[in-house]
Amino acid sequence: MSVSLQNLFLVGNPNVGKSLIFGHLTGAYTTVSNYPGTTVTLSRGRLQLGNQSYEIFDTPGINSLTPISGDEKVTRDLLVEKKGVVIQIADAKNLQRAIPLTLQLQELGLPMVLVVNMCDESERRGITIDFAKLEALLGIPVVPTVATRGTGIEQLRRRISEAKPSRIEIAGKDSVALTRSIWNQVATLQVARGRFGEKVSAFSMHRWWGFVSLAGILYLVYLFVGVLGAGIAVDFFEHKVFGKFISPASIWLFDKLMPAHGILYDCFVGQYGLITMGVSYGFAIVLPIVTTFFIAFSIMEDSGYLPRLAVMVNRAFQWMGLNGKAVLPMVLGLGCDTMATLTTRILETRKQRLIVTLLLALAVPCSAQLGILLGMFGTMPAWTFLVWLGVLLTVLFTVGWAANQLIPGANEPFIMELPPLRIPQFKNVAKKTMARLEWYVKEAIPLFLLGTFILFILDALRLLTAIQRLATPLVVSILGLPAEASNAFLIGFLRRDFGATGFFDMYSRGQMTVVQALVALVVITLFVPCVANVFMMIKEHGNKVALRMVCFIFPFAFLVGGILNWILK
Amino acid sequence: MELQLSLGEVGHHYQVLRTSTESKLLSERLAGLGMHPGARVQLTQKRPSFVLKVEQTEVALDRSIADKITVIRELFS
Repeated sequence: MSVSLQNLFLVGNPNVGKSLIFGHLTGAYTTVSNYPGTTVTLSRGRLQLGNQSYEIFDTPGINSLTPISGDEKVTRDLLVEKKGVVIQIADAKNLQRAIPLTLQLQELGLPMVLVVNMCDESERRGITIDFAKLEALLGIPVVPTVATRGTGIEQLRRRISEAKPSRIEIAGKDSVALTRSIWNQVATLQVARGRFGEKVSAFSMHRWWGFVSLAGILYLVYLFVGVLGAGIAVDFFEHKVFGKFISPASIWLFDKLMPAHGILYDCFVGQYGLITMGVSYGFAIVLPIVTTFFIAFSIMEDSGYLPRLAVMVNRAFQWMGLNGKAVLPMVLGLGCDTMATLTTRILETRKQRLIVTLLLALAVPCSAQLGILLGMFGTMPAWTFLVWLGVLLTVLFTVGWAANQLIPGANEPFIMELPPLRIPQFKNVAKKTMARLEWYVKEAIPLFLLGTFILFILDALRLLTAIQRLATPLVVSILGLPAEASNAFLIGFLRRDFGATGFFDMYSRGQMTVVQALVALVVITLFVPCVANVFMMIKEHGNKVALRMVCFIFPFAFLVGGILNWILK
Repeated sequence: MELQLSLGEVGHHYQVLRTSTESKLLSERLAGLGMHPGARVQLTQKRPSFVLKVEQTEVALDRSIADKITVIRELFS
């Protein structure tokens, strides 16, 4: 027989993870937004623990129970009227803010549990909390959690039944002094980080040295991703693993299964075959490059460098209506634009998300693109690379600025927390890289296969040549390129590297001049990176917006190419 | 002698007196980052952004936000 319904209240300072824990307890995912203080309405849910049913109330973030503002009054009234168990959720790295609230809650005499959340962040800052001591001092169960990972939630569930009124002695004592005293007894700070870490941090954000260190880091990333990933690893997978084993083996297999070489044969192992082209592209070419990029990115993330990079680019970004926060998707875009477009969700306003999505698709080349482009620039005169880079940056800032003027909305002020710099930890880097790779294999690779399949269909229906004939006049007259180039553009959209290598072939065979090759590369860089990216744009912003962006990007790329061609003549 | 943080000097230590923002959410955000009234901070940078050292972390912010934080100088850290 179940006991009657009991009330359970989640109370705490703003931004401590109340909504996330609410979601864990009720089993329903409550949207957790980055914009602080968004829990302005009361959410309710159900929790069943053994025989006891609870009605859980998620309250707005408050700093005290003195009824100054609406939120505080609402919460206090709720607790006084309805009675029930109070779960106070605190931020482990800001425990001093939570304790005054605990003292006030204690006055209400309700049974309590204290959840100390975000323990991963406090640990990162070298703060160690003696939870047993805290529990002894407060007289209520204390549960450490990391809500973003789900750690400690089970323990919380088990200990809710142990909730009891806090019995801490507060009569006549000054709340501020008491808070300090409690905090001093339970928390220890490791100041080992100290001087050196601060110096490096200051160096990385210095007006001049910051950019120098950034250049150094970029070079290291280039060596790792460009040389190791795009060069050595791709070479290995493309030529040895696929070239010598998988592709011939597949062809052999299909030769046996379908000696007649019909349409189905071509579909799998033909020129645009799913295995010979689609799978090999996804795994042999893109995956090694993207893996090295994700590793480098995770290292930058875990070391704490990324927020400092955000500080460096903040001013420039504000010119485009963004702020330093946008550095995350923009840098991630250098690895994979599709994944970066998904990451735009961390940005606060829709305007920022739109601008970043547009810039990613237009002016941020992904690692697969970059790997091949850099390889090509290696064989061309140095000035071509500089022109390419110059055009790209000009386009980025000009379109960004224009988008900022055209889309309504004000700039968001830049506030960012900079966690302490530290040596990246292998297990964190591995975990983040694996998570991104898993996403990539599940989401992006099927789309490459789809792209290959579309190419196959177009070719089979003889539409490929028809489209090329339509595009040729534009390619020849505006861009000044030979007619064959239109073929490379079309394929380049569905399969990144084929486009670029198509040009490379033409250039090395002398069918294109240096200027022509440069124009071709600029245009293909400005194109939307790939099919997967278009799908992600649709998913994030809807058909209409994605369509408008695509309809802007392609003609614009041609326009820029045309202007460049005209200038260089 | 109170002053706005944006007028502070690099290297000096300050105590936060109040954050006068029209937006309550911004005040909350600042408090969540450790910049509540009574907090002790050190100004470490003004360009390219303001950077403050707050307890064990650093916080970066725009000048426009530093304008809204009223502080008083602390002569010893």
